[in-house]
Amino acid sequence: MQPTDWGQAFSIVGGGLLAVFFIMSVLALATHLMGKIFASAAKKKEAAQAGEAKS
Amino acid sequence: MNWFEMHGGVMKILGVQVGFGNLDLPHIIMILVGLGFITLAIKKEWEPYELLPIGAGMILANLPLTGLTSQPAPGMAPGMAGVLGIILKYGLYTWTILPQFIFFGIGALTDFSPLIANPKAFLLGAAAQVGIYTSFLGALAVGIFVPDWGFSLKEACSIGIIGGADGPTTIYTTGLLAPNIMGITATAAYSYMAMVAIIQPPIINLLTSKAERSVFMKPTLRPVSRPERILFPIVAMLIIILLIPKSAPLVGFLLLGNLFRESGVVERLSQTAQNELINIITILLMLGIGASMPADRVMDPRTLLVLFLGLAAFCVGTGAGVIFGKIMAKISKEPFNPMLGAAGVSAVPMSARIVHHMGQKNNKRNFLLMHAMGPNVAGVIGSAVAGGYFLGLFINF
Repeated sequence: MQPTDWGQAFSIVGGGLLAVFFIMSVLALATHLMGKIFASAAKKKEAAQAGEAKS
Repeated sequence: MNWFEMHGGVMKILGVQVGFGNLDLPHIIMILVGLGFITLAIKKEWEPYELLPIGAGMILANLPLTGLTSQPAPGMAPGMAGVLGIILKYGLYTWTILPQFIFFGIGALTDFSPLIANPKAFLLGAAAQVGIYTSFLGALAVGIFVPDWGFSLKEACSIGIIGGADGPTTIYTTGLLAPNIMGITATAAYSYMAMVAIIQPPIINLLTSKAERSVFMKPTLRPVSRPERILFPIVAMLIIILLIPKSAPLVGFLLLGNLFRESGVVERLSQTAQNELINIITILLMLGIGASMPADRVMDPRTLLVLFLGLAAFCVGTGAGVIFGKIMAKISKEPFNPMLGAAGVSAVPMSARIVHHMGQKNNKRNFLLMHAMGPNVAGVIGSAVAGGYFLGLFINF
């Protein structure tokens, strides 16, 4: 068994945690934005339908 | 001439051809362990779909002279490879295709709506992966105290990934990085998933006060539209795979299965992925996992260390999720129950159910299941990302 390179081990841990949190944060942001876009599109559609109904 | 001398030839043949003559203590122990798994599956209903075939595979692999686990090799005579050996070689060691198809089925079974409705849950799914990295360091630290029992970097990655509480990710990562310990890491992952109800509540109780556990949250989440549910797997797939390409075999198949489900236009394919396909693959995969544990490979003091480190990874992951949940509760404008962090370990849906039951126990008005499903399915993605990160370090496809 080769001796452990602790520098490499800690860089793996640091990189791994950073990667997981970064990717999950990007996914959270993208999903949040997606929700906002769909919500505003739905609102616009509703407003247009209400306008059509009035006219 | 006595009877034995008269029948010496016959006795010699029996010694070579009859299993009883070749059964030794390690094999007997492994057969008993296999029987124990089958008993747990039938009597306690602990992950029966996994533990029963694993136990059966273990027994078959440890019966002497069967040839069931002989793996195909160049120049081997026809018919000499055993069926379990073929599953092991092509399903787990060389091609490693089985865990990916399990992920495909899981994707087809998973409803990501609770996560889409509450994207903050992604962060809880990330926090619960901390256990993976602490056990990775723990596995490496073993070598400081007992050099002969030390684990290599690749083995440490495989042990750490047990903390993701995700069977297919554990199997896939270990199959590529450290196939010598695959059986034990996979069994540990599935066993701890089965024991969520025993492992998680004490940790949650230790880290939270009664007042924190009683925090009431509105039981409903916002409705998620069909276009959102269709777009989610595509967007998530692109983001994750472009950032960590080595996670593609797991994340890609998980989200592909989900796209089949949500598209609504390939109902037959989605149903096949959710039922027949995942059932067939589960049989093959779990038998293979059981067969990957012959006595000579498992009867090693390091096996106990793998089990202990895997348990530690699971516990630390739960704890980290709860602590992150407490941080989110502090900064959140709306009431937030910190127990939800414990659901970030991807034992779907058991850990979400535990959080829900504990929520109801502390406050009868609480209905946390849908809130807990968000971090729970985020944990599946998080552990696949963590597995892909480890693979990216050591494997060049």
